[in-house]
Parts: sequence; C-alpha cells; structure tokens
Amino acid sequence: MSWRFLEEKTTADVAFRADGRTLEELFASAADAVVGTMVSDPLALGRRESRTVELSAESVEMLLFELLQTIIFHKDAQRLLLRVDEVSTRQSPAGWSCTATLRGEIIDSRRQDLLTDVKAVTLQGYRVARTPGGWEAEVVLDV
Amino acid sequence: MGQEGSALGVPKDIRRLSDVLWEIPASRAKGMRVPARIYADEGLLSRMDDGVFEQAANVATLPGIVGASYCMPDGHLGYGFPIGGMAAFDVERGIISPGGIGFDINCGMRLVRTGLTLEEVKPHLRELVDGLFTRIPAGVGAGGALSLTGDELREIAEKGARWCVEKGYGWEEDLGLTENNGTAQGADSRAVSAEAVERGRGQIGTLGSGNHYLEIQVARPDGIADPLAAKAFGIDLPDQVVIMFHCGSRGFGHQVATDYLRSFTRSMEGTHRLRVPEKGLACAPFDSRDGRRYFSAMNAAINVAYANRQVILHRIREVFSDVLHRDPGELGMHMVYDVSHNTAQLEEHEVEGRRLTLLVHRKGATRSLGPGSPGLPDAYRKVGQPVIVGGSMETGSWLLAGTEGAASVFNTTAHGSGRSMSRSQAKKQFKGAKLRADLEHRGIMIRAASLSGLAEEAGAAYKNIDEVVSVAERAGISRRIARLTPVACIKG
Repeated sequence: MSWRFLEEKTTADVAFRADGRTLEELFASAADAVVGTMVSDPLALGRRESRTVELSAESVEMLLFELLQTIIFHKDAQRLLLRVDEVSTRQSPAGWSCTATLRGEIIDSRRQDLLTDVKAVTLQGYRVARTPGGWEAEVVLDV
Repeated sequence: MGQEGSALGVPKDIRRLSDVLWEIPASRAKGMRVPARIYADEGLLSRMDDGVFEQAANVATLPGIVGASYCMPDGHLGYGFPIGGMAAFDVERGIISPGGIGFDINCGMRLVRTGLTLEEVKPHLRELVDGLFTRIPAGVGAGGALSLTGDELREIAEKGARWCVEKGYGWEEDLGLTENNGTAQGADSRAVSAEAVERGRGQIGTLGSGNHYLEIQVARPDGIADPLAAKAFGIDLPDQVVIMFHCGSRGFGHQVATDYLRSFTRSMEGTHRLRVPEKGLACAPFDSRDGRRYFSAMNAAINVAYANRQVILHRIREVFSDVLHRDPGELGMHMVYDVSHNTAQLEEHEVEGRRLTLLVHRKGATRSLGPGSPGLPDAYRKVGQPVIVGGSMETGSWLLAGTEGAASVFNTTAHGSGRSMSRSQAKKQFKGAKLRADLEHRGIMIRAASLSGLAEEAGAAYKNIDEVVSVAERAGISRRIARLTPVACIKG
C-alpha cells in the first residue's frame, strides 16, 4: 500500500499513483495522497475526530472518486483533515458501495505543515485498475 | 501563410496562419468539427505542453462548436479543455461542459486603485501586509471570514456582489465596475447541492491557496504603455499604488463543478447519446434539462465568487483605512474592474454576417470587449474593457484593454502568464524560505500560508508574462495599458 506523486503528468495540477494489495488498501492509500497534497505528513495527523460515511457508485472507479471527494468535502465544510481508518467495499448488482471510518483532526496551521488546498478530483486520465499485485489508481487533483 | 510548425513537440500538421496564430486543421483527427487555433509566437508554441494541442483538438470535436477551438498564448495542460481554452457553442445544438469552465467557477481578478504613491505607502507597508494577511484568511481550508447560514449563502448565490453591497460590504459603484454588474443572471440556488452550500458557507471573504494571491503593486511610470487609457482606468499618478487579487468561488464552486461532472458522466452516453474523447470533457446538451440546470448552478457559483471578491475588497479598504487613519474614499480606493476567467456565458456574436447567441466557454481566458461595446461601464466606453492579467509574484502583472480585434475570437484574450513548470519540479528547484528571503531582498514583502506553496509559485515556474501579453497585442485581441509590479504579496 503506497502512493507517490507523478511529477511529469501535470503542470498546474497534482497527479498521483496509489496502490494496494486489496481494494481497501488502495482506497486508504489514495485518500492519503489527497491528504498528503494538503499537509506534509498525513501520518502525523491526530485521530481526535471521526466520521463514518456510507458511499455508493455505479463502478469501482466512481466509488473511489466519491471517497476522495468526501475527504475534500470535510476539509472545507468542517475544516477537518481526515484519513481512512477503516473501509470495507461491497459489490452488488446495482454497483459498488463502501462503509468508511475516517479519522483525523481540525486544520491548524500552528500544528500542521499545510501545503496546497485541493479543490476537486478531476476525471483527466482518471484510472482504477487491477494489477498482478492488487489494485492501482491514477488520479489528477485540481489544486 | 501555410508554413508548417517545426518546433519540438508541436504537431507536424500545425499551420501558421499569422505571426502569432497557428492552426491544427479539422482533418487532423476523426471527429474534429472545426480547427483548433492557438495564439503563440514560435517561442511560446515550442514551450507549450504537448497535451495542449491534443486537448484543443479534443474540444474541436464537441457538438455545436462554432468557428474553432481556441487556446490563448498562456495556454497549458488542463483537464478537459486546456487552461487558456475558449470555445463558443450554438445554444440549440451545442453542449455545456464543466471541463470547459473549470472547478473554480468564476475564478477571476479584481484590481483596486488608490490615490497613494509608493512613497506614501512604503513606511506603512509591513503593517498593511500584516493586516491584510490577518483579515483575509488564506491557505488550506481557510474559512471564518464571515459567519453565514446556508440560506444566506443561497441568497448570495442568486444576488452575487449586490448582496454584499446591501449588507454594507462595499460601495454601490463597485457593482458597475464588476463584469455583469456583479450578478450573473439565471442563477438558481435550487440547482445547487446541500454539499456545495456546506463547503462554501464559511468561505466568503477568503483567498484560497495554490495560485491565488493578493498583491500590493505599483504602476511605475516606465510601465505605462498608454497614458491616456491608463488615466481612463484611474492610473495617473507616478508610482501609484494598486491592489490586485486573484481568487474564485472556493468550495461552493468546486462542489458545483464536481456534482455536475459526476452527473454528466452518468447521463452523457445513455440519456444524451454524446461521446467525448476523454472523461474530462463530460457534458450535456445546453438545451436540455441537465444542461440548463448546470447553467443555473454555475451562475450561482459565479455569484458566490463575485461576493467573495467583494468581501475581500471590503476587508482591504478596512485595513488601509485602519493603518493610514483615513477613510477609504479619501484614500481613493476605487475599483478599476473585476473580470472572470473561468465561466460559460451567453453572449451575442456575429458569425458569418449573422448575429447569434452563443454559449462561450472560457477556461483560463478573459473576456475582452473593445471600445464602444455594450456592457462596458460608461467611463471605459472609449478605451475598452479592462483586462486584468495576473503574473507571477516575481515578475508582475498587466492591465490590458479589450480591442475591436478580439471580436475575431469571440471577445477573448489571455488570463495570466501560464505555468511552464510542474508544481513538483518547482518545489524541487526552489525552497520557500530562501525564495521569500530573496524576494524581500528585492523589495517584495511576502506573507504565505505555506512556504511549500510559495515555492510552487516561484516566478521561474511561469511563462514570461511580457511575452504572453505581447503576443495577445500582436494578435490584436487586447492591448497593453500598464505593467504593475508587486511590492508585497500574500499567497494562500
């Protein structure tokens, strides 16, 4: 489970590749990439605040999109930087869904090394795919 | 002229139409309905991201596009449209696409003049900058400038800057100096999700981050290209101090764009039988329930951005007044203009001798009305619309004027200097603390919410703004009035 920025893929925006042995790991690492765009050390965030979300989408690609958008929504609406603590995904005839517990803390520039605000997940070159080792996603964020 | 492009990375089939205009023919790729035209000189063209050409060509495949898909001289890689992209669509046969407007709906520029010279301001500069940095929240998730209910934000979404003036955050005259008088018609807050309201509720009066900034600038005598036009815009003192800022609709607009991008992705192929070359161009027919609903929501976001910049202007006047112990009116703090560079607007244009109403998408491109155009404030009727082109914090910015020649490109010109280096590259090459020290040594005071973010915005990460505005002038789509150089910069 890891993520890294793709330096040459964008000029004004931020691109990253995330992976995981399972879909759940991919979701957690992709969420960390979004948080890691906004704060220098996502792992150092506290766990004081918690939110549980239920999300659904027609495809696994759009389910990840919904999860990442949820992270961005909480950053603006509640000034929270949240990481994925637990997530479970399900596939049904209607599509995909997940339950995620997000934990983190209030934005505080005195305690966090804040970087760049993320506006949105774009669909430019957006990709979620199975790999021999599990799952991988490429995402471009508008910042 | 028909000359082929020769620069590295530039498509082989690109044709040179003039000194500063290039064309990718519609025959280049299957599905292109019109050519793609790019404003650039050879230098700018050769340094453009390869993806710009592909994105401009992709836009040319969209249904109902009129004339050509255009890219301005500050063009660079975007999502869907290139940044710097412009396309006009027939309102009956054409589409509307969030990827042609941007997530930051009505991201734009506002320029405010003062009756002060640099000499008068210099002794107070530190106090002014600290005051502005405190009163105008900037950076990741910045909020708390105004405390609003959801209903109040929905009211703002329908009234725009007018709401602010009614509540005392500005002067009546500010509205007439804002594009669309500060209120986009056709906004309907019922087309906006609860999530967008929640995201935006605490963010009116905030700057944001990334390339958003607020600068105290100086119009130096050697930077005035047209003294008469500059005077018409209120720039007529030697070393006159002005304030320029760049921001948009914050989380409200970002969520509106996201909501409809998601919705169009679902409805495009099934309901509307539309296929696009890439997901970033997800769209709906403009003349459909989906298209009209997005247009209403987008206009709501346009209004939120006008209100955001209006409240920021109010804070600027408060800070200057507090520090200099004079009324903002006495300080001559009048607006020059407020103009967007991320919108789709219904406009009338003449096409092949016929007057048509078109939906003009501008994404990182500025409206540029020539002298005598309807919609101009009376004071600017003879000189044309002020076009505010933001540059990097190191090199300065430009105040331009719209020209009659811009009619050939649906009254459009450039919006900024345009990035030439990725954010990661910039962070590797520059260190925020050293950059800040260097700039302060050069007389540019810096306050930044993030030093890392500051490094991403280093001047060398951008194209040469003088080259960009020179190309726009040679193309006849705007002309240079005054170069504005920063003495203080607040970065989100």
